[in-house]
Amino acid sequence: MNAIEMNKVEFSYSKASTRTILNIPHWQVAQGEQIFIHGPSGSGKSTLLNLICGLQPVNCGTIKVLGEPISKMTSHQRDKYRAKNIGYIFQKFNLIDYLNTIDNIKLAMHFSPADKPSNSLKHLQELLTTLKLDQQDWHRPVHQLSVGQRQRVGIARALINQPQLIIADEPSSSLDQASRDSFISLLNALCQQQGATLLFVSHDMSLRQHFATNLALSEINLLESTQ
Amino acid sequence: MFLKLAAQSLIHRKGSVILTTLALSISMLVMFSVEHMRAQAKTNFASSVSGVDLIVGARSGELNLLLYSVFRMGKATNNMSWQSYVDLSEDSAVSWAIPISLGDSHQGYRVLGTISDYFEHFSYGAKQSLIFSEGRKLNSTFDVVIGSEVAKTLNYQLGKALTLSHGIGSTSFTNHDDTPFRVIGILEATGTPVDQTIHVSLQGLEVVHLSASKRKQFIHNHESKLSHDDELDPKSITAVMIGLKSRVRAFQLQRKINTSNGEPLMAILPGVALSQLWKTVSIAENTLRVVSALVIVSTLLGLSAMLLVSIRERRQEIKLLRMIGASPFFIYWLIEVEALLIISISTIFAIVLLMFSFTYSKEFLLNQYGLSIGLNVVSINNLKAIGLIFLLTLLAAVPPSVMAFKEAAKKQ
Repeated sequence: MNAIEMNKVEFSYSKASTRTILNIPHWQVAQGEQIFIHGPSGSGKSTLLNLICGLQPVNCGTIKVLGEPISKMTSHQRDKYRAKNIGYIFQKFNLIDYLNTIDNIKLAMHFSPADKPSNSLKHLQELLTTLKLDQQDWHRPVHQLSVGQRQRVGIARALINQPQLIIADEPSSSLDQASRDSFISLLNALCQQQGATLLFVSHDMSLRQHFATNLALSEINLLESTQ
Repeated sequence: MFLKLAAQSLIHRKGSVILTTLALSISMLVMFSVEHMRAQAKTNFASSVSGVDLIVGARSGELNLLLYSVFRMGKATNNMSWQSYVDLSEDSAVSWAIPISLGDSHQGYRVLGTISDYFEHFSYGAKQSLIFSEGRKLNSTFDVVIGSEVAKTLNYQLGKALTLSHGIGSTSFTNHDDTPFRVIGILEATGTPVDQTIHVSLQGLEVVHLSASKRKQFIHNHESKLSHDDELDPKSITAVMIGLKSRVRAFQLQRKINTSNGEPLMAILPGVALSQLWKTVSIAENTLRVVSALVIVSTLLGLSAMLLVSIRERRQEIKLLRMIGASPFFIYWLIEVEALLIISISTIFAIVLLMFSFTYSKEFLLNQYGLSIGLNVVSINNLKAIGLIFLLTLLAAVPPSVMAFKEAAKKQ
């Protein structure tokens, strides 16, 4: 089973618009793969991720995520599927400012079915410890944490439901060089440990050294040359 | 988790939330106090006389008779004869009959001539009798019993000598300066017109109305016992308060009095007449209600505006919530619940504030305005109003909630 499988996917923001953002005849990502996708700003990276997450319905074509055709689901089904199976890490604003660390992660657990074994406080504590977050910070409002700490809480939030697919959208751009490297290796290690597929998207080519598989978005997104 | 999220979000924006909550509390406080005072005023009004089954006076209008006999307002168009009073008090249905005579005043307060039994039979509120805070009831010709407000405003103590003027109003041309009335009793506050009344004996009132020479002569000749001097038997009185042996016979006796061929008299049932009178003042009542409702509506619009502005600042938060699996409906209800939390806190705050202020102003209101208020502010009417306000809050939160919903369902 592939983690992601796309066939004849086309997407443009409005039906009237002739400007096609994405045109992907075929693309697949194997389960457990850790893949780095790069491309300049405005090349459709975020749009691609929104399609995979089901935040955005496709115009035509099919998208299968972890074997399930997300392009055929209702929006309510997509919301539930996303909560359960996909962990997402943003560039910033990964957390709700007014909640503390623990509550931010519990909020993510809230939207995932409760019978999962991962829904335990113990798992949560282990995860925070692995991410080197001090116990004294667990109950502090997240706006009091440093940028690096916040991004690590962001990882915890994305991983807490043990999703099979992790999507990271420029998650390290707000970090400095040193913390960027440790952030990426931590993320990689945790994904490997969970056997999750990682889709890491960035415009920063220098990051590709951390990943086994590299891909330029233009390799799969075959826009007609007239545009 | 849902409630916690809403609550934490409000705490996070505490500045604008506290101001909005305060505004809502104050407008609810206005509404509750208007409603409470209105209900209490109505109760006070209805309780200005009780235990009196019939009031009989010269034939005029029902409201007129009620106004002058109970509220000391206006004038009797005509008096009734003493003989009619004697006949009435001898009627088989009548348990007691008390004559009252109005028309004089002292320092702007009405003087009520009556008999000693008045203080036994007259009651107000839930059949509460008049209580003396000092002194005793009428005993002799020149005794005076004053209501609590009279005592307080004029600063009269027991033993104070006073003169009664003929007519109504504090300045009168014929002051009966040489009549030696003395205060022998002061009543407790009742929250009824009794507080503003000066009670004297009917005989005392007759003396006031004697010619100057006769009056001097009388005062010289008589020791001031309540004597049954023929000369001092009143020829006429203003009205009679009647208590019946059985209330069932009220209508029967009323009919008999109203249709008698003798002296033209009329009888009213105080309770019925009071509720008729209240209907005429209900326009003011409704105006107050409308104003307080409008205050609430405008404050709720403020709440709506506050939430609407906050949505713009919360775009990232909404996007994040969507990404971790919240549906647009979750976002919609999050905003609604925030509004409901605000109104709940406002309601509790308003009620506490109201109870607090009434507890501390109860004495003041009774003494200054003769308004006796209960402390049970959570009346059925107020509960209904609270329900309605919660409903209105849900409505007021619809625009910001819809905006948040749209933000959540927006194509990226």
